[in-house]
Amino acid sequence: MINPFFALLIGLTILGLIVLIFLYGKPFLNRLARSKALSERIWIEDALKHLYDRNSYNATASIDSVSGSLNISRNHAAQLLAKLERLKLIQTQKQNFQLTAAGTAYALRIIRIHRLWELYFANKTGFKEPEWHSRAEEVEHFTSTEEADILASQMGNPTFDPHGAPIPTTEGELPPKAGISLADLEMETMARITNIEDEPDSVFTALVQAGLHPGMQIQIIERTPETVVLSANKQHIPIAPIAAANITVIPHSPDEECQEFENKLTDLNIGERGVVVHLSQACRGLQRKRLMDLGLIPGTEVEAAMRSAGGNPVAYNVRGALIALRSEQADYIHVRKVEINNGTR
Amino acid sequence: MKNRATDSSKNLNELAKSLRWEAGENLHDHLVNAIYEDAARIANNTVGKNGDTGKFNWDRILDNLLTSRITGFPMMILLLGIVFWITISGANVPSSMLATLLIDTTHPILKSFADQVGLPWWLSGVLFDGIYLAAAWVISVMLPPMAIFFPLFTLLEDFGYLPRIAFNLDNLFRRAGAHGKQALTMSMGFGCNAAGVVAARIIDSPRERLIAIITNNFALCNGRWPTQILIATLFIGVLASPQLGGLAATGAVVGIVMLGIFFTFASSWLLSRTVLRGEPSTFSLELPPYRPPRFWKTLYTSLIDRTIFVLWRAIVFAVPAGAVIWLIANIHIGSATIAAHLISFFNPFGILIGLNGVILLAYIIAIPANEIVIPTILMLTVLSLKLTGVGEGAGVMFELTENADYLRLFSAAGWTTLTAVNLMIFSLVHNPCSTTIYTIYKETNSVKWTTLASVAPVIMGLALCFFIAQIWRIVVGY
Repeated sequence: MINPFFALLIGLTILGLIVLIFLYGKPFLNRLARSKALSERIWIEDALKHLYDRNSYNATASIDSVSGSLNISRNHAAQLLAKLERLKLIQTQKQNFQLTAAGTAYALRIIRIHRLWELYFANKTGFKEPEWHSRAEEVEHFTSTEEADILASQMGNPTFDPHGAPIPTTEGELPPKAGISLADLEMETMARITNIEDEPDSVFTALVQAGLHPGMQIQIIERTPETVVLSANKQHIPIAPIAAANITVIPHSPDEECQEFENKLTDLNIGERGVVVHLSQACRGLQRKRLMDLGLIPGTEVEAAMRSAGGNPVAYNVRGALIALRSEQADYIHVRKVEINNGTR
Repeated sequence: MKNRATDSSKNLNELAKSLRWEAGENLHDHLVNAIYEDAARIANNTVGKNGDTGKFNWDRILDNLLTSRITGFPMMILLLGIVFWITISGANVPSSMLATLLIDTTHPILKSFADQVGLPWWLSGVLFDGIYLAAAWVISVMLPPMAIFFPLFTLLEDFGYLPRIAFNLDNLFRRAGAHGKQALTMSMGFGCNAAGVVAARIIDSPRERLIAIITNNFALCNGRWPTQILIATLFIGVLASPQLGGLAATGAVVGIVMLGIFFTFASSWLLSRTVLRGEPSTFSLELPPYRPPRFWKTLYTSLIDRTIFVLWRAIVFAVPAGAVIWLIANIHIGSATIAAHLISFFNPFGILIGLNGVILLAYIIAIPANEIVIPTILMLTVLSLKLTGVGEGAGVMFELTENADYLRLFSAAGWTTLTAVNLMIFSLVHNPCSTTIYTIYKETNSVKWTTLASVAPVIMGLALCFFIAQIWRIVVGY
């Protein structure tokens, strides 16, 4: 028989190795799986997306901007741009790199695939918001145009990605640009968020954590060089000015109805009633569908009926049925409290 | 004319293209709202309401009792405790009656019938000692508890109480990334894991349903209860003083059940954060109004849908296993039987992890049903020790009546307290029986999740036994 000390040592070593591979093995395996030719194509496609972005904002694209965006050396960036020029995907005009028609079409195809995948991860999987973009980045290079079309038709040919950016059609068409940057929004003007840039990662994650998402109604109530303070749903949300530049908004037209609400469903005490004002846009996919199917749509009256012995799910009386909702779900549902005296049963 | 037609259709296309962007992403929301508006209008026009009746208040009173912070959990423990107590105490009598009828009476009759007809010894062996005995064993151990447990459980379900259990326990399961209804599939798993896996249909969120299916194996099913009770009585009970022996054995079994519940939560937590992270997830739990259960209908459906269904699947899998068990104990390669070769092959590894070759082989060939693990271990032990005068012969499963006989046999085979502890652990944490594996495949329709649910627990069990054995040997000695 093996000495138990020795056996224990071997066992613990193997256990440790498995945990290490599990925690850190994935990037390593990914690098192994990528062949050289494949990674060359990935660089090209990423560079095209960057150039498209720059061109559409009328910003200059340079070797530096490419090297910064793709996180590669200047040398590598210069080689990449030279290659794109050889392939007639870009042309140089006074230090600025412009996409050719072929280059634009290629870039739009990749953007279409990227945004479709983002929508897929948002609506059809359980991955959380910060992961949608990076997962789409991983798979977009391995998806053909035909596969993208199948994906689109399965999701009902959607028009916008989960961040509010339009998805180019198969022909590469996009709607005319609408809205302004939040940085240019006037003080105290009500506006609706239409798009939140998903790059760079750190800025996007900060905005998501602040609770901002497309569809939300906001106004700027304070602006200093250090911070921009937004007011949304009676809450004050301070963000960095640089982050504000990553948000696109459409100012309200006077006749548009205000979706201001006082309370979340979780604010109701047992026995209190509320009328649903709207469902937060942050609630997506299967989750949203389920809540709407249960009848939680604007105008529905809901009564908080009882709290479970465990404390968290609370049962609500919705259209005559007793439905238990967890607090993180009830937070998505915005209501206007109904005074008991006025309420008619 | 023709020109104008193409012109206007062109304009129409342009219009459609531009409108496409203006429809926005909330088209689905508007559709649902419109459908609800229509439905509400139709209902208002056609459905009359009598106002609130007394029944509504009756529901509220019951809910206050069954889901309040103070009385909710005690009521739950009381009701489930009654169900388990009726099952365990009520199943003993019919179980031993069935065993007497099928094993002690019918089996010898079949054997003597085979001798009279003049069947060759190997055919009567495979048919009656192998196949028949395995099927009979599964029926007599499995049928009575299931025939009691499932109807009781279904009655509670029909009454409307089970969703309240899920409601009360959801907070606990939510923290493990699971659904409150998993409390119900887990309870069902204490009856039978295959039934528990089928019961996971009540969870409509894909991620939580997979979690409930994959972790159901950690609920100690009634095929494993007898093993736990026997081993605990033989080896753990004797560690305490004679007065406290029964208590120590009971404590050990309860401890194993608790460990199983702990593993359910721990592996749910791990699964929801690793491999199942990408599966879509939602939560909804409807609490239907209470109503008097429809007794006969419930009895009929639970017997047909659950009991007979599961039993039939178990028999189908037990039949080939019975044949295999008999054959490997009777076919010789060289001077020894196949079973003997396999036992000496598995023995070094078995000893290393604090079990032995016989136990490992028994768990491999008795994969169709946990019920026949102990009879198989006994038969293989006798075979490998080449004992005479114990048991019924090569390949014939048997059980003993006296605890002292068990102890004599096991200590002759070199079992220690470590063997017993690890056998209890391995009985809890190993692959589901083949009936359950097949059911998991049927329910998930996925080779990937079936493989995960089958292989992960064995690896976990072997690793657990390994570490326990090494630490035991360091702390207690050999």
